[in-house]
Amino acid sequence: MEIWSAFGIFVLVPLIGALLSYLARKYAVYLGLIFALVPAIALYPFYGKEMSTVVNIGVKLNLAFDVTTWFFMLMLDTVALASMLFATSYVRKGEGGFSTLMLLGLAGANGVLMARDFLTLYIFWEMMSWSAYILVLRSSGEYARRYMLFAVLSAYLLIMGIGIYYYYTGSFLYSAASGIPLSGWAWILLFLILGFAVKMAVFPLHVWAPYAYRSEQPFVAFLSGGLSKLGTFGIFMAMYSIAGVAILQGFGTFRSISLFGYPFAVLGAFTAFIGTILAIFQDDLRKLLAYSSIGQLGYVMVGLGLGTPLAVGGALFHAFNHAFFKAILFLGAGAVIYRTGKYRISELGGLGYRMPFTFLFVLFAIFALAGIPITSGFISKWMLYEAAIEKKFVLIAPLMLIASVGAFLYCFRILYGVFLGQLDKEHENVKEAPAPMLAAMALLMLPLLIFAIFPGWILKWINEILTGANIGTLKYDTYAYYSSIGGADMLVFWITFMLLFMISMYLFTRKRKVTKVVDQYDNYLAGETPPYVQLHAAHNFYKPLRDTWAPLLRYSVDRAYEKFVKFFIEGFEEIKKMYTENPQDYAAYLGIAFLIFLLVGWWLL
Amino acid sequence: MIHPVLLIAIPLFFAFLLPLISLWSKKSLPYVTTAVMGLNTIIAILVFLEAMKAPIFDIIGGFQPPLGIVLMVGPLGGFLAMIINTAALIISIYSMEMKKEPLLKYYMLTLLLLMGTNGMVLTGDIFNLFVFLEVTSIASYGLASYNKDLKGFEGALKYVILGSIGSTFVLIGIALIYSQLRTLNMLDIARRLGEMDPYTKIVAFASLFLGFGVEAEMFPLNTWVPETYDGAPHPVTAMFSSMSAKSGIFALARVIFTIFAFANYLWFVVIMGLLTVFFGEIVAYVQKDIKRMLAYSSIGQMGMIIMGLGIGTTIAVEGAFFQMFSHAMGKALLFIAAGYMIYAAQTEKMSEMKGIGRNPLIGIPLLIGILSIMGMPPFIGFYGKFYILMGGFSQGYYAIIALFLAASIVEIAYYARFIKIVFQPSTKNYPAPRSTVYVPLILFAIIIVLFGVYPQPVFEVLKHVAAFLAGGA
Repeated sequence: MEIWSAFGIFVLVPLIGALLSYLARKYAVYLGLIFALVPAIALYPFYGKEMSTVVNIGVKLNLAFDVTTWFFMLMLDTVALASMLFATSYVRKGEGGFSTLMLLGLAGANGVLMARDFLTLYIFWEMMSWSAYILVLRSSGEYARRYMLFAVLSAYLLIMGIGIYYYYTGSFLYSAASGIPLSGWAWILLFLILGFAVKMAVFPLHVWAPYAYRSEQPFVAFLSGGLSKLGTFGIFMAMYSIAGVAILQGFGTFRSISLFGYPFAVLGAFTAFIGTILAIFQDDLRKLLAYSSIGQLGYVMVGLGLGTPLAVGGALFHAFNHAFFKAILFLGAGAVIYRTGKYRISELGGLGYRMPFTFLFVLFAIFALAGIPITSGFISKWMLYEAAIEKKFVLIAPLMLIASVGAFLYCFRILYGVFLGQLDKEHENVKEAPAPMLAAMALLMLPLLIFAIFPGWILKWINEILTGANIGTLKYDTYAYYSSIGGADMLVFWITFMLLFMISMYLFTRKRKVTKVVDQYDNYLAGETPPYVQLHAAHNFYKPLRDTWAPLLRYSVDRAYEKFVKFFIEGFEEIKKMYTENPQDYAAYLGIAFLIFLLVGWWLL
Repeated sequence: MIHPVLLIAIPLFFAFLLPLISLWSKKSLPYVTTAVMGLNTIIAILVFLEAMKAPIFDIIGGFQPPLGIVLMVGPLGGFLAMIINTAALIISIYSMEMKKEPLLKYYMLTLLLLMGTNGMVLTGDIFNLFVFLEVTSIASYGLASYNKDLKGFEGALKYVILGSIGSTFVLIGIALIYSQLRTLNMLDIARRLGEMDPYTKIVAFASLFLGFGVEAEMFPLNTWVPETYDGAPHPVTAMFSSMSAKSGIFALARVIFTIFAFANYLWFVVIMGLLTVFFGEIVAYVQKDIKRMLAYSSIGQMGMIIMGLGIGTTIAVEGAFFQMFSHAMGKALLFIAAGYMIYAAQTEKMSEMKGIGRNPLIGIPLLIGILSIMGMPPFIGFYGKFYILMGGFSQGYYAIIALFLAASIVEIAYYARFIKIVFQPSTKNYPAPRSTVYVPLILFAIIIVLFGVYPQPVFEVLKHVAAFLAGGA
């Protein structure tokens, strides 16, 4: 019975909300908010409960609820709630489509998290995919097809994996995995991981993301913050829950890391590197964040691939953090776009003076992204570094560190280009973002701050997940985690930080007395009337760096895909010529077909 | 007990009653036809419910089988008859859009088409099957050229050429079987198949396979499809894809499973299905006209069904039958929507149809139809596709499934392109759809969503697939 309440709250309630908000278009955004609020709040009493059931709709849906489901739902439903809250002032009033599709996506996502057989997984997975597709279509129609093709590619890769699983076990149940030979596992895991990796936008399957993330920002926050975590969940389930550590180790080990996981870890590190490099050179704020998202999820992939308790724990933690800080960043970008209508970094600047709270939230999210210790982003990133360093991986660890430095570069770009520097004249009258937007960002900021002080709380949940999947245990207490090469003690950090903060605050307040802020034109101009001078240098940012990287940036996966598609379409044109529109040819086809049928028949006789 | 023969007799009777009715009132023709189809649908549902308990053998003229003619209605045959009649009923609402004379002949031919397709799925006699195939084909030839324009004639002519070659082959196959076994009853043939000379058997099988393959749009026998679909009036196109194609594929299934149970020939059927999918989807991608694109897509879908039949495990054939259902509903919806779009945009070019789907009465059903055809849950198109694929995996056809999925991605690509054009903002003003257009669209959409969310009733029917595969009714 209890699972029915879980199924009802997390899947059926959003579905009903989707229907209602379509019918009552006038109140759609508010209905959407209410129906997103229900699962996000109702989640808390469900912590620690384990239950399962079968719902029969003609096919059997095997559903279960456990701590893994709960952990992922926590990020998804909270991000969805924040996005809907943000949307109440972002989306035009009286538009039904947005809330309907968001709630459909949410129901699909929750369904994926609760599914315990592949058929159910696939049903909810596709439901989530196409509702996201229509959301992309709503605002950036040009690129919706690209999203859809990759979503379907991901689904079909999953189908390949599921099918091979079905061949060996004759069942779709996760728990039926027994008696599959190692070669079978290799194919199953390969297809499943690649399929889920599309959603996580892992290189080279990432090319949909920069385009899809240009849609309506509250949706993008949910897509990048929430839905991409389903990829993380899927890979975690496939590798550690369905297959299990024993089978992964059965492929052979390299410094006690599974040889099957290692290539994916390298791929993840490479993704982190590529995503970061590409993010540095973007001028479109949304595209920059998209590439940054690709890069950050690369880190998660590293952790999942390495498979030590520290690595997987770090990956889950980082996925959690990413859900929140990337949602804040996209919402912050949304607030800026909402107020100014611009999304090019070079056209913005100085908005921090006009939108101080948005700036504050974005700044905090950037701290989390860059892994600065006053946010929980630091701990998860540090765990992942340590996991790589612990095993002395000289390829993975440096790539991650370089990516991290790159992250500072693009973070600085956002800070300077959008919020600092000179305020453009036409933005003189820009107002602070509306209250719901700020509330949404504040809501998302809370966990980042709380878990920076008490990492033990979240590590407890992660530890439960890890022990549940037989990966191992983490060593942690309320304020710290420990590893063989160190760990991080946040108590020490916070005390030191507070001390240093106070000292510098003291110095700063003292120094402030001698500083005088003057207007740009309040200086000696030799009697000349100055023209308006744009001092905000945001064009061609990082040009020296770009010149250095130019030989590498010539290669583009995007263009490779385009060439690939073009090649095929030309082939299609050739094939079309078979339909000559001449009935004599057609009659001849019939004759030939008959001969072939006969020959095959005789041959088989 | 309801006699399944009513499903054939009623349309036939009314088809020849229509001229008399038209003397009395010409305006009532569409309503009479719709009423007849409604009646037929009700009877089909009753027959289907009856057949779910036990297969019905309706003996005609009092001669006992195998000598007499018999109608053999199993659960699956009844299911298909129900689908065909329901589709015909809903499409007949859209038929009221037809304004072009001679309407009398149009409605007569529609009823004859319904009679022929019903006969094809209900009959248990192989010669009867041929007769109904001919009735279906001749009615189709007439309907295909109904528009009396160059495109219509060209399409119909190609259909006539290929269709008649196909039915000739069917006749040859039947003659070969009869010459050896002296019987025409399907179950009787199946029982005594061992007595046949193996070489004759192969020739007979190849002939029947080819003949029904033409109706079932199998590669390379489907060359008539695009032009005929393109040239025919819009409601007729919807009928072709949801009625005659379904009866053709069911006849094919009868030939493969009920009459000849050639287990070792099945992989060849899979390959033919795969080729059908491949060519259908690929050529659909490069089409610029909406109806042609949908016609080629229809070929692709039929190929998927043929593949499902060829894989031959219970789960795959279940998928194939599910797919027949979903394709009948989804493609009829899309063709009706296409009919409206061509009327509203006054061109067949997809690139000229910007923003036409922004009217929710068209847009929402259209989107549901396309998502269903793409195979997205929770619409009915999903289950068929998924089950066919899983059946393929359980037989170990990895490479074939991978190729199929590749072709499927092409399908997604062109449908997504279509969606993008149809939903993009535009300043053009299109005439609002009349109720004769949006009512059938919404009815189809409701069926698609309803059975997609709760497919239990359909799976209840599909439980009988195992018996069908074992050579039952």
